[in-house]
Parts: sequence; C-alpha cells; structure tokens
Amino acid sequence: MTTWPPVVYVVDDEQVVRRALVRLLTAAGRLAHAFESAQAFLDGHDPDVPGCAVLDYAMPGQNGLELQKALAARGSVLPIIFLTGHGDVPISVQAMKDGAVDFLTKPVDDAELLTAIDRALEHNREWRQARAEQDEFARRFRLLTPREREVMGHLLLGKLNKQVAADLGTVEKTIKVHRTRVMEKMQVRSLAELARLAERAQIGLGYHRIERGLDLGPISQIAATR
Amino acid sequence: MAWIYYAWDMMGGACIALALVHLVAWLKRPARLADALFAVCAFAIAAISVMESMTMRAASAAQYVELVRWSQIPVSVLIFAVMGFVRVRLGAGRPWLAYTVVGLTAVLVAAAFSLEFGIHYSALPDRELIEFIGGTVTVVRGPTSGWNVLAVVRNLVYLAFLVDASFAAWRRGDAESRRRAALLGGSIVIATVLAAVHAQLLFLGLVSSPYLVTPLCMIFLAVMGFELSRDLALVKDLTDEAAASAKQLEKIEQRMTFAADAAELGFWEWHGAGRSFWMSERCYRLLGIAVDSPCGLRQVLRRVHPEDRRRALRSIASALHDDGRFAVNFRLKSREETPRWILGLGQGSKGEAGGPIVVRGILRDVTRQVQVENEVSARRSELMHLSRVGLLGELSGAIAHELNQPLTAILSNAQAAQRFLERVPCDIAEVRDILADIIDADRRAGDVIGRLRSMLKKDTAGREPIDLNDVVLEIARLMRSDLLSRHVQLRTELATGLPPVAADRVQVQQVLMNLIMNASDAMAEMPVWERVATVGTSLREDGFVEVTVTDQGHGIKPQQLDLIFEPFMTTKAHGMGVGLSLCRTIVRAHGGTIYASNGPSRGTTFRFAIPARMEVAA
Repeated sequence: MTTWPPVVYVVDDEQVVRRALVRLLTAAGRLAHAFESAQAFLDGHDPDVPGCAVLDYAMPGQNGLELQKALAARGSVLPIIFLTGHGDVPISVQAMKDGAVDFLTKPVDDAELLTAIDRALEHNREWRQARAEQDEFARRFRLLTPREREVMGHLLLGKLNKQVAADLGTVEKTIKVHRTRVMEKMQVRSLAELARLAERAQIGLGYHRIERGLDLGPISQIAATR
Repeated sequence: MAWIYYAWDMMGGACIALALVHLVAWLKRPARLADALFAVCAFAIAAISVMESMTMRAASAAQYVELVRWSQIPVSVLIFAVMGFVRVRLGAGRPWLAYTVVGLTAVLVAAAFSLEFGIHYSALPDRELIEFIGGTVTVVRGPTSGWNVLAVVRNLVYLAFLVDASFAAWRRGDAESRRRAALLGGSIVIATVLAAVHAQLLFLGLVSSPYLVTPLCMIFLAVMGFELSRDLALVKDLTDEAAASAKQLEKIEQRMTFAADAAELGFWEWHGAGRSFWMSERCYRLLGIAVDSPCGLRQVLRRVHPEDRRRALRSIASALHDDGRFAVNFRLKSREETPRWILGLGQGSKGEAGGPIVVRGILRDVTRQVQVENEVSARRSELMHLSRVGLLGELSGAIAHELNQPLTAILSNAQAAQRFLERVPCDIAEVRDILADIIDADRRAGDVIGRLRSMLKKDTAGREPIDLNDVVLEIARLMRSDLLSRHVQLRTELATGLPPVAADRVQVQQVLMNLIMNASDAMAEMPVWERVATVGTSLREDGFVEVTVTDQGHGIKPQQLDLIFEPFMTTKAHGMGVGLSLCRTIVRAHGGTIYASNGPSRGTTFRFAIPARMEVAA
C-alpha cells in the first residue's frame, strides 16, 4: 500500500472561492488541489490517491450531484463533502442518499470544514485499508482449489471435520489434509482467525465483488445465510 | 286747359315724388350712391318737364328760346346723373368718354348762355301755334345754328359711353348683370336716341311738335326705378335673411355656451396685433381672477404655479412660432395642499397673408383627472414593484448563492489569514494577497446588495442615460446561479458601440429579467443540452436600441402571440399573467415597442426596443 499524503480536492466554478478554500486548507496544513469544473476534476485527479472532495452544487456544465454520480459510476471511493450556498433540503437529501459524507452550507466556518474533511479523510483511510485487506484475502482465496474452497465454506459454518467429511462424502483424513492446506494458503493459524478475516473481507466485498470480477462462491452464500 | 299739360305736370309730379322717395332712401343709407343719382335724374327730368310744359305755353319766340337756353342745365345734369348711374349700377363705362361728354356739355352750356339765340338757332325763330294731342301748343321754326353739330357730337359721345358700358356689362357676365345691362342700357340708349333725334328734327324744322324729352326720359326713369326697387326688394330679403341668421347665430351661441358650460370649458383668445387678450367668464372663475377685471396674458401667467410657469409659457410660445397646436397641464398658485390642475389647449393661426397671429384655446379644470391618473400611476408602480419583488423571490436561491460566494471567500480567506499570522515566520505577502481578495469579494457582495436594494425599492430612480449592454450583463450575473440550477445556458451576443438610451435602469432590468425567466421556463421540459437562451443587443436603423431574448422552447401558439402581453394572460400553470403585460407597460412608457415571434422551427424571440435619443421627459 502506498503512503501518499491525502489530498483535499476543491471543485468550485468561482476562482475567488477556490483560492480562499485552498488557502485555508493549506494554512491548516492540508494538501489541497482545486478544479474549476466537474469535467476538469474528473479528467485531472488520480483516483488512486487518497483524499476527499469538496464540491460546490451550482456549477456550469455538470453540477455537484451529477459529479457525485459520475464519480460513483467510475468506482471512485472518494468521500464527498458538499459545500453549497443552497440550503436546499431536496438537494441535500439526494446528496446524502448518494453517499455524501457531509453537506455544509456556505459560508463555512474553518473548524466545521476541517472537521468534516478530517472525518472524510479518516473514512477514506479506513475504507482503503479495508479494501487492501479484502484484496489480500481475495488474493489468498484465489490460491485455493475448488475442493479447498468448499471445505473452507463448511468449516466457516462451524462444522467438525467428521461432519464435513460426511457432507462431502469422503473420509475425515482427507478433510484434515484440505484443512491444513486452507490454513496455509490463507495464512491463518486458527479457524477463529480465518472466520474473522472472512467476515471483514465480506463487509467491503459486497460492494466490489462485481466490478472486480471476484466470485467468492460459497462465502457469499454463507454470508447470506448467516 | 288741354290735358296734354296735365300729362306733363303729372309726369313732373311723378318725377319729384320718385326723386323724394329715393332721396330719403339715400339719406338713410348714404353708401347707396345709385339712390342719390336716381333722385338727381328724377329732379332733372321734373325740371325738364316743367320747362317743356312752359315752352308749349310760351307767349313769344323770345320766351321760347330763353326757356330752351335754360333747359340746357337740367339736360346736362340729367346726362351727368345718368352716366353716374350707369357707372354705379353696371360697373362699366369708360371714364374718358364720360369726361369728354362733361367737357362738351360744359362748352355747350357756356355757348347757350353766351349766344343770343342759344345754341340751336342762329336768329329769332318764328312762333307758331299747332294742335297737339288735344291742345294748342307753341312751337318755333327758324334758322339753325352751327352749334347744333357740337350738340350732336356730344350726344354721340354720350351714346358711345352708354353703349360701351352696356356691352362691357353684358360681356362681363352672369345672367343678372346681362339682364341689367340689356334693360338699363337698352332703355336709356333708346330713349336718348329718340329724344336726340326728335330734338334735331325739331331744330331742323322737319317735324312740328313740342319737345318730347320728358315722356322719353320717363321710359328709362321707370326702368331705373324698377331696377332700384328690385334692389330694395332684394335688400329686404337680405335683411330678413340677416335677421334670421342673427337669430340662428344667437341660438348657436346659446348652444355653444351651454356645451361649454356642460363641458366646463373656458374659452380664450389672444391677438398678436395689439396684444389683446379675451377670455370667457368661466376662464376668470377657473383662474380665480375677478370677472371683468382687466386681464392679459401676464395676469393669467401670474396665477400659474411658479414651477409650471416656464413650461406653460414655452408651450404657448411654441404655438406662436410653429403656428401649431399646444396642450399643457399646469397647476394654479394656491395655498391649499392639493393644487388645482388646469389643462390649457390652444392653436395659433396666422392671419391672411402672414398677418398677425391669433391664438385661440380653452381652459379646463382637470384636477380630478390628474388625481385619478396619479392614482393609477401609483397603482401601476406598486404593481411593478410587487412583480419585481416576486421575480426576485423566485431568484432568491440564486441571489443567496450570489451573496454566499463572496461571503464564503471572505470568511475562508480571513480564517486562512489568521492561521498564516500564527505561523512563525509569518508570510506577510500571502496575508496581503488574502486581504486584497477579501476586499474584492466584499465589493462584489456589496454590488449584489446594492442591485437588490435598487430593485426592491418602491420608487425607481427615473430616467437616465444607460447602456443596455451593461444591463444585460448585470442581469446575466444576477440570474447566473438560477440559470445554472435550471441547466439553462445563457449566451450573450452584444453589439459594440451602442448609444445610451434614456431609461429607468431598474425597470429595464425588470423587463429583461422577466424575459430571461420566461425563456428559461419555456425550456424546462427540454433536454439539458438544448436549454440555451440567447440575449442579443443591436442598434436598429431607426435609432432604436433593440434587445432580443431567444429561447429554444416549443414556441408560442400563433393565436396566442398577440395575447401574451395582455394582463392576466398566461400560458404557465402557475403564472399570474402580469409579467409580460408589465413589460409592455414599461417599454411603452419609454416610447418603445415589444413583441414576440416564433422561430422558423422552434423557439420564441422576444424583442423590445427603446429609442436611443434623449427625449425630454414629459
């Protein structure tokens, strides 16, 4: 995982506002980067860099809500803070529904803005960490043979070796070998550790399973039955 | 006594009677010279008749000759009077002929009195008594004198005058003057010819009779009398007519007075010649001047409110110079709180051939109308204000945004500055930049508030020269956020070098705001990328500055195009229908025009134009 410092992206069509916000964030020790339109932001930012976005609502071209949707469509995980003059309830409801982390009205107090930004960055950090764990889990999981994945599924349901052997129509000894392989490949020492790892991966993977082309097979079923 | 004498005496008496009648008529109306001339003729003929009657009874040839000598005087008078009468009645006759006759006659009269036997006889003639129409009369017969030739010449010239005058009158004209020429000229000529020929025959001794001048003259005297009495009848008719029309005039005047009273109009008249001024009683009362006190234009102007005096005077002066109509409303000087308003209307007219100017006009108390008009205009401006407030209400979100942007910049900049200042070492250059930005942003917010305040104010600032491009840009700025949130793209196509127009800035802003708002509403159902509104300005050839607002909507139904400017006419679900009607009111008040037209395939263009020249405020 990279250790780039998080960037606060400011998107506002008015230069005087952009300049002021970038100045404030810089003075408060944050790394800030400003864009004058939704399109400029979509084209100009690196999605792999951690950070958050502070968006204006009313802008020529795409407005804030549309930018939020475009980012979601691109699979961006950037937390979004709306900063707008409109204290418009329908807009704020829509923004929050679409996953905005905060909805602030202009003019905004620095403490309020920085708190929101820090919270968003923390959110993003956690989010990225969780995804890193998921990626690792998925990488290890891909090493398993189909039989091993099947055994792992049954084990995670809390069955004993003997029960698994009976369910899969084989002998307990064979299951024991599979179980050892699973523990090795998944790099866990106990079944409890495997269960915790699987559970954590499951939280985020639900969102990203499809676009990342992962088929966790029984695990998703397990999650569904639990 | 033979009745022939009675005949002559009767003719003489008739002549005197006629003469007296016409003499009296002439004395009553000295302008009618014909009456006087007729009277002279009649008197002359009367004198002639007396003398003829005396010659008939003359006791001796010497007495006869003496009477003939004296008869030259009435004959001369008769000839002069007849020539005068012809000249007056027929309006013709050559003066030189008349003067020749007068000259020859004078010579003949002088000769008659200087020669022993008069002009007709060279020696004392013989006296004879003959029977003539039932009486014995004296005639003479003797050698004729050479002077007779001169008498004949005089008579021919006299005839020439008469014939010439008759023909001239005949040629000149209408049926009436022809009739008169024929009757008058004809009778006189015939009588004169007969009398002259008969007299010559007498002198030459070819006939034997007394003088017959009187009966012959009676012929044309009768005709002359007929002519004059005909005139008298005509005059009577005319007098009746005049009386009737005077009555009619009186009636008309009564009606006029009644109408003027009912309409509460006062009349006045000013004559450039002599600078005299007249006005009707109502004018005095309207102006509060004592009726019948001496009054001129100066006194009237003194009653006008000092603030309106110059305007009133200028208006009247324009009628004097331009020979035109004028209308001016002015207040009366008054101590009351609500002054009375008077409407003065008038028209100057030059007399014939550039003569002195006469200005006529009316005055009317229009206080009530002015009050109503003021009330209406107050209501209208209230409605305009309310509509403006409504418009701004619709824009409130956008306006809040307009204010929020600079406020955001100010707050964030200020808080950034605080943090920069806490740093050691502190970055003074950065803080300086920040302060500059804060000032800019603050100014911008101030502008927005100023604009809002002027648009929310009840009374607008009034007309001043403004650049319509500026107005377009201001409104574009004010409505930017609103248009953004409606996904409407606003394009501007502004002409450069536009002349200023005399207009009320806020009202024009209101019109433009209305039109842009309508354009934006018209495209609410269109796909986002098609929502384009275009505002353009241009200078028209007729000196109007035109502003167009074009949308890409579905257009307006053709049958509604003419109606959309009517009050309470709306095509919107929640519209009140006052916006466009107010736009029209505003534009018309600026002397401009506004109309809408559909584009060839889609969209509507509203265009309004205001004259570029500075007009004198009414």
